[in-house]
Amino acid sequence: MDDDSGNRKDQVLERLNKRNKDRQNYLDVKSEQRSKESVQNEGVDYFAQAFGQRAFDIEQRLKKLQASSGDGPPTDLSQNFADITLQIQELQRYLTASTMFLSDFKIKSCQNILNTLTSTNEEVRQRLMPKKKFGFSGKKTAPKQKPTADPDSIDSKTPKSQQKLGSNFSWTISNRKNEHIVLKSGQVNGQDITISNVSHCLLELQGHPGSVQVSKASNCTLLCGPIARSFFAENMDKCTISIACQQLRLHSSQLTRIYLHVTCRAIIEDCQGIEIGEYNYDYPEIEADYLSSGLNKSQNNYTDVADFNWLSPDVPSPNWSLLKDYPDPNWNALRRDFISNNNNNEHKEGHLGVKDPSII
Amino acid sequence: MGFLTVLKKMRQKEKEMRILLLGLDNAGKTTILKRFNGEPIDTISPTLGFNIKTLEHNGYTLNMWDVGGQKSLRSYWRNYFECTDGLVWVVDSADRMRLESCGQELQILLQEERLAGATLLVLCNKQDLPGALSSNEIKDILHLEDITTHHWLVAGVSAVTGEKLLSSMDWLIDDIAKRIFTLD
Repeated sequence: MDDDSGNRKDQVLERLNKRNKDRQNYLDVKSEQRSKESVQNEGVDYFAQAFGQRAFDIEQRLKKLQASSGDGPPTDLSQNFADITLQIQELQRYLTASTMFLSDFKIKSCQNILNTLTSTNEEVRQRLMPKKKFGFSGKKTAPKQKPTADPDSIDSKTPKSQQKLGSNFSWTISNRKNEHIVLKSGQVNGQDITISNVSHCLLELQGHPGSVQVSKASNCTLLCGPIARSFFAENMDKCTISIACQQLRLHSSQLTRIYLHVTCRAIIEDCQGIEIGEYNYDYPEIEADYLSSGLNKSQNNYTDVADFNWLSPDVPSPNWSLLKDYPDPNWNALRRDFISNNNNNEHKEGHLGVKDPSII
Repeated sequence: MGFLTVLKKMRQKEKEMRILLLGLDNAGKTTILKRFNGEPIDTISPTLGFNIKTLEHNGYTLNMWDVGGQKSLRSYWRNYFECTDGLVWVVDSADRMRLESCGQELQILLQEERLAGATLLVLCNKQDLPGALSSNEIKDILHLEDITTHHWLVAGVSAVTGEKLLSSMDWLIDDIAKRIFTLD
């Protein structure tokens, strides 16, 4: 009996000892982690400082604008607001890129700061540049079905939606023929570029658009800087495109050659005769544009195109092919040729020598 | 494993919701899903087929189905309709040239019998883009006011910035919960 209780006592002691050891081990591991974290904290501290500084700058700018309201000409104001919006967007990107090493709380609080900045910007803009009243107010039908709808259902953004309304929006470029169209970075950066119904044109977008959409283009050459998000095109015919983007989506297009830099993936649907080569458009600011677009210059998946009309993984799709044994296109020469050709036979259609692939 | 565990498991099962994310291609369905789940959104490729994510939110288990929106994939959408509690219709607010076909596809879905009980959340995505239409404008273009068959809500969101995403999803989950977990 004594022996038994002694045994049990030993067991209990042993268990307690073990538990104590476990606890100490756990503490050790914790403190080690903490010391490691303090090394990482330098990055976090730097972020907090940089973020705070930039947020503060934007706030000051807004305050200044508010203080000097009424003095400046309205064009100046709109420029200022566009700048601020851009700054906020950049800050947002900085935050998104830094979420890797930030704590949840930090992310949330930074996001809150950004949200406040955005709404203040919107508020000030509305106060200083009141928009003409537009008649949506007539549509005040009570929310159907669910009165539970939270405040989100009432969209606070209506005033922001600029001058473009409903169906009669304006394309960035539309209905052009035989023209050399160049958009500089001021018109392109961060914007959503839409192109429709163009033929025999040389289009150049120098800068980093947010996204690009093309609908209906024939015998055109499109040169474009790094696109932050997606390139979306449909109904392209006998075109040459040179683009860098995150995603490429090409629909219902034929005989089109694409010089491509894609960081995620390109897909085609209902397309035939698509040729893919490597991106080589070049202009002085392209490096900076890569940086601001957030595209990874070293990652190019242009050889991996998915065809939605070709699901067999073993047999390659007949609808697209990689360009092989072609010299890299020389865009400068092409531009020269296009301009001189266009001057020579202004009114002769279909005689643009540029379109001959052997020149490209 | 006692009786309590069994009970708990049953309860968990009860708290499950099936949510279907649909919309035209390039609307940002996968980006919304990843943002909602807290994953990085900078390496998203066009969806070939579909993605499923199961995640816990507000005490509910959400089964999120994100099906590719390419034309050639739309005919497969109906394979996913069964047992859907919530339908999230994602719209690219900047894609004016396809808003009409976006509306048509939505109308087709709303007539679908197997989706009859589902709550509809229309997310006007990409509000961070300067050319984006507001959710009010999209509500008019898609004739959402005419919908009488479903509980619905339209919200302008941005998957890139995360703006309003959480609050509108919360509405969806609340609405579903009220309908199917009334016994709690």
